[in-house]
Amino acid sequence: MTTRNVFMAGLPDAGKTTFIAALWYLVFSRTPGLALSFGSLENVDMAYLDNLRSQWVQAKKLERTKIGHEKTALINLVAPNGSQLRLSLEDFAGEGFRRMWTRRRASVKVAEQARNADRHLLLVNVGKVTYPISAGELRNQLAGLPAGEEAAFDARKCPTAVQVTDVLQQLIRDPISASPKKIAVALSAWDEVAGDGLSPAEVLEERLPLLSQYLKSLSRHHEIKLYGLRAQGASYEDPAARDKVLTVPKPIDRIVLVEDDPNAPTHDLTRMLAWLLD
Amino acid sequence: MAVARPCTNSDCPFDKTGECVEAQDPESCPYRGGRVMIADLPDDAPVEAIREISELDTESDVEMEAEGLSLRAGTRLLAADCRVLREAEETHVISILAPKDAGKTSLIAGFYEIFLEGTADGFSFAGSDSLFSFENLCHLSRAASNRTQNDMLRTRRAEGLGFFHLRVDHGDRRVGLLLGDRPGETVREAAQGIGVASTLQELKSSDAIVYLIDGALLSNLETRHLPLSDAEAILETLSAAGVLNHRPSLALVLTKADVVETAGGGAQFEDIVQSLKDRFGDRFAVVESFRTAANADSTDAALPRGHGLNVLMVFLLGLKRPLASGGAACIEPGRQYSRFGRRGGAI
Repeated sequence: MTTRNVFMAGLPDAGKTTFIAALWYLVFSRTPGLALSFGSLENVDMAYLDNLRSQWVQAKKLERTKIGHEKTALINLVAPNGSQLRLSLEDFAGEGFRRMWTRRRASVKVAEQARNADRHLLLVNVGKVTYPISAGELRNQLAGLPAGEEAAFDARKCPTAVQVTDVLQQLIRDPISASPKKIAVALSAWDEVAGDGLSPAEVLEERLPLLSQYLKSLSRHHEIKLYGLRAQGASYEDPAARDKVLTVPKPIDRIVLVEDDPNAPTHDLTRMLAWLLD
Repeated sequence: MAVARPCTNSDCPFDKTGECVEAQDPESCPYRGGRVMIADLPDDAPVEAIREISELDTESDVEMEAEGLSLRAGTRLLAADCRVLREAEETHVISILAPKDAGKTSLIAGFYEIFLEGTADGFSFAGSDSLFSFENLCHLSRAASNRTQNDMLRTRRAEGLGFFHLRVDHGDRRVGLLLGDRPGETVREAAQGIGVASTLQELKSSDAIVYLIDGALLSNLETRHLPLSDAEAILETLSAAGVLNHRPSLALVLTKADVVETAGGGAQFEDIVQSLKDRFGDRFAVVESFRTAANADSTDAALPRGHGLNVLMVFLLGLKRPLASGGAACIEPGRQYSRFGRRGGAI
């Protein structure tokens, strides 16, 4: 059985851990009709995946992955042609990716894994986007109310599109020099934008135009595919939304994956992996 | 190793809501004074300190993880960086010349914001080695600064010369732009003598000079003749210093066109352009003029923020490399350039 590494990147709160949890639930529960189905359990420590599954099923907010406490998900999958593969997904801390922007440093492990994986998965939370709002727009919003005390430049508060674009640049350019053949970009928290009826490409262009343009430029040398992803069901910061998620009859119905057509969602997260690993 | 210190995470609402944005236990949160993580230590932390708080085994593991990998700074580039870029891909060097407060920083930031706001027309963003500096530059015009009037950081004299980098896809071409950023004071001083003008060595390698005409000065009765007079003095001295001998293109750019529009000084800009073309046209490969409002207030201004920048960007992307010598080629906006050969220069 061959092991395929998928390098997963994303800023804090991008939904990386939730994606793994939903994926594992989907596969382990032997949901029929998946593009990639459950293979077998191995004699490896399953506590990490088991804990994620348990938390996810109960619609509990998953803990953020902390720097120095990254975990690797090893999932055995079977392709439709019967071939078996072991998917290796490292759940790196989002804060580590943020530091690539704010501190201009990357951990050696992130650099190595990015370089060694020829398939990358980038998650971007489109429900929590920091936009480049101008001072003039702020004045209009305040409508005469006083603004706060002048704030110094804080790289953490820069627009989301800039931070994500720079992380992607840094992964591809030296000294990391990753060269993924394929990059899947999952726009997470899709429930926040699903009502607009837009495709993932349109949402990206509307909400994160800098990233949208950069990805188009990368498509000269890398295969890029965009997805809308809802792996959690709703934001659990809103108790009513979480309660609604809990009333959904089957946990699988919380999951949504959108490809090109926003009107044709699927629950099958493995379609994205099947494309990546093909 | 427990170290007491205040929370350093500006995104964390713990003090208000009691919920840690990192989902950490307050007792152990590294931002609030709990257990220090490797990545929280300073870069020069001793190996022993790292080992004490880590689960890493060997000294080499510890050193590797503590050091991490130093990435590209993302800041303004130096001339040496520019040489590398020019050797690797088609890259145009643009020297932006402007007396102090003419709007140079706004113009540079405005180019960047075309991409950030998704208003680029006919071209698109393909990367930048200066994203961090672009963001810093824009800070005072952003709501994140808590300011309610658009403003820009000034280039300080001590910063000297630097270049903002943009990589742009334009049709089937990928073109790098290096936007030269030099304090306005030193540009103004160039008019005071050939010796000073000859220190602006980057001009020798520039594909284009973007000379800014300050619209705010044009709109003031007392200062309205100053932009032409300054431009003549600066361009004449630069020419005499020999830094324009390779005949770059010249873009005469009216800044703060929204102010000019309101004050009705538009015709005067046309007069300035004609005067400069008449006097200097034979020293440049191409002379074109543009009206811009890079940092206009989005609601009160006569022109929208970013007005004119798309057209100027297309001009800069379409530049041909200048000859070391040759005849004049003054053209009107929108017309095609004649073909030019190789360039010389230090960058």
